Amino acid sequence: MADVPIVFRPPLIEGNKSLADITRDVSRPMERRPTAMWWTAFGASLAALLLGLVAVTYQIATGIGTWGLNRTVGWGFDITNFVFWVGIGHAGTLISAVLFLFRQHWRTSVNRAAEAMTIFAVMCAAIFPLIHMGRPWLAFWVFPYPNYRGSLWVNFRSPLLWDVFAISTYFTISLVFWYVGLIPDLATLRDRATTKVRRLVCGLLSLGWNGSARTWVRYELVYLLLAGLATPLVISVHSIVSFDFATSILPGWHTTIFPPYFVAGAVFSGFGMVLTLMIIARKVMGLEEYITIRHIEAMCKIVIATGGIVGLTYATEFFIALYSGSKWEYFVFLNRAMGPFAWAYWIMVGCNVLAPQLLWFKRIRTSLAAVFAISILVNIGMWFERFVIIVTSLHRDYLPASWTHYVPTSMEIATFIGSFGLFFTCFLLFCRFVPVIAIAEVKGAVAHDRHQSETHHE
Amino acid sequence: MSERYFVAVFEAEEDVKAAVRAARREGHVVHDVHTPYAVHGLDEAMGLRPSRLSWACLAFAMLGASIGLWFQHWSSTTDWPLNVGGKPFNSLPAFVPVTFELAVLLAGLGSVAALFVRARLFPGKKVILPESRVTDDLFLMVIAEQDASFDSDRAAGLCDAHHAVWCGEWIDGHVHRFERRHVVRDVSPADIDELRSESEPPISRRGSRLRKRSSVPVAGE
Repeated sequence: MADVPIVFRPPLIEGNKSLADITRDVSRPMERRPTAMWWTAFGASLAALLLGLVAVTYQIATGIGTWGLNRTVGWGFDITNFVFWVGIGHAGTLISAVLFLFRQHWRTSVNRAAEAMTIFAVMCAAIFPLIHMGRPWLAFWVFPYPNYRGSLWVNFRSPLLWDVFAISTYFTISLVFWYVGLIPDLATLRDRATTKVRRLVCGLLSLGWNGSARTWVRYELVYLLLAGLATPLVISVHSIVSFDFATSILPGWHTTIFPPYFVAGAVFSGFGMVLTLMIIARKVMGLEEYITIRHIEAMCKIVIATGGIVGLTYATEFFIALYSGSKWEYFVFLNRAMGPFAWAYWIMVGCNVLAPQLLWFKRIRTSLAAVFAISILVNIGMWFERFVIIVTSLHRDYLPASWTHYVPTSMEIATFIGSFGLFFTCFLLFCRFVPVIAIAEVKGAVAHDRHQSETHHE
Repeated sequence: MSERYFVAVFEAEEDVKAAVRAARREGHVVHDVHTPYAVHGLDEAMGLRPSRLSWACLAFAMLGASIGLWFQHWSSTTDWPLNVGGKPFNSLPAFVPVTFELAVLLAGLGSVAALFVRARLFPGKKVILPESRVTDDLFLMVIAEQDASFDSDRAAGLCDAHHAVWCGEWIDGHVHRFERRHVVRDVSPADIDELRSESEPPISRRGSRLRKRSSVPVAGE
């Protein structure tokens, strides 16, 4: 056996932690008073959320005429933001489900936070179509329920209805997956609780979990099943979101590349957001030993890969537009790159295709400041991608007489800021009240790591 | 009838796994093992059958798909056929996305519900265990004392041989810990690694009553 070459991987988490250390380190931020940094961030997020609430109230009271949309550009900021937020959510599911199926043990340090991010991002996404309905109190009309109009059923041939089912299923399954993952950790919190309220709440939510091996076997199987279900689900969700565009007969939208293009873009943007959040969270919550440079590097590599797919799609799309001989396609793509929204197009290319190339260098991947800056650029770039797809395809349609421009109003911008407020408020509350790191999963992964290195030693 | 269990607490997953194997070899019935995380290989050591919950998942998925497909077909062709852009009433390909989503939704919710029912997890359930640190860093083995012939001294010896932190009897909810000579509690994993890597025969770390050290399994067995 002595001839077998052994490749040593760096440990998953640093500091040679015992099981009790892991419990203590992860629980500590929840058991002490929040730091000044947390209060500052929470205050800022709450302010953004309040701004959004005021804007949304005004829009609902007045009508969506408060937006900059017009007869030609019927979708603008609202659907851009919707697709942007749904896309952000996808990295959470990718980390929790797909990396689980691929047995990537490093995911255990970030999956809890990434799943929380998914749930909050989908909440933010849902706001926009809801307001766009104009009468959000009638939102339940999108569901097929028996009614006094016939019953008049919803139109199951419409991609917008598929969206309703896709997004609501995605939200429900993500929430269930997250909660199931939380149960053992809630039991850990219950057993070390010092206050009555905490013991009661964690006790109720942990459903009497006692770490029984029989339950663990069933639990692990159900977790695997949920991961197996969430993987095709996440692909279906953004494919269906892309059907909103692809099934219409509009140059720039009516392409078969859209579903994979949207899924890759969603994962790319989601990892951009995960990196942004994790770099902040590890600092603010003092979890540097759990979310290590190794985790950041692994995520950077996924950003390069998915960014590459996105770049290839841009090129393919452009090539096919020129090669197809369809003058409408040809016009739309030249208009994207050189028309009035060319600035948005080149921001998109710069942020999504060029910026991630820097991550090929290990020195940049291991520099937190550089990774943070690139992750912000990816977020910006992916927002502009949706903006470019939606607005440039619409603003110059088949009839030149109806060509127009689109400028968002202050209401739309305030709502967008408000969605960030909602996202970060939820995320900060999550950091405060829920274990940011999956305690039981990290323990299992560390034990596995240690076990492997021991068998190598012998 | 009183419920009598023999309980032993361990600090490392290797120890509890080896103890479970040894206990079953001796003919004891391992009632359950409580661990802070999913210990791989423990199910095998305990001789647990693989869970059949995947069948529940499949059944719920098929139920979701059937309901989804049937409802779309019925509402679009029978209950109120509506001409939408000249498309056929039975637009089967267009029904695929909703059918799929409902299959996933019901499969996910159904498997979790099945888990909660099968594992008897519900809000308000009381946790009664002789050791509260099983959700933190300790591993608890519970052996059912099936009849009067159960030799608790022998079982204690077995657990000591596998570095039990403590062991004792758990009768009707009351714990009687066995007396120990000397117990070394706070051993960090680093120390254990150091101890294990020494070429000398393993040192009696936690004051074992059994002297048969040769039977002690080493980590990574």
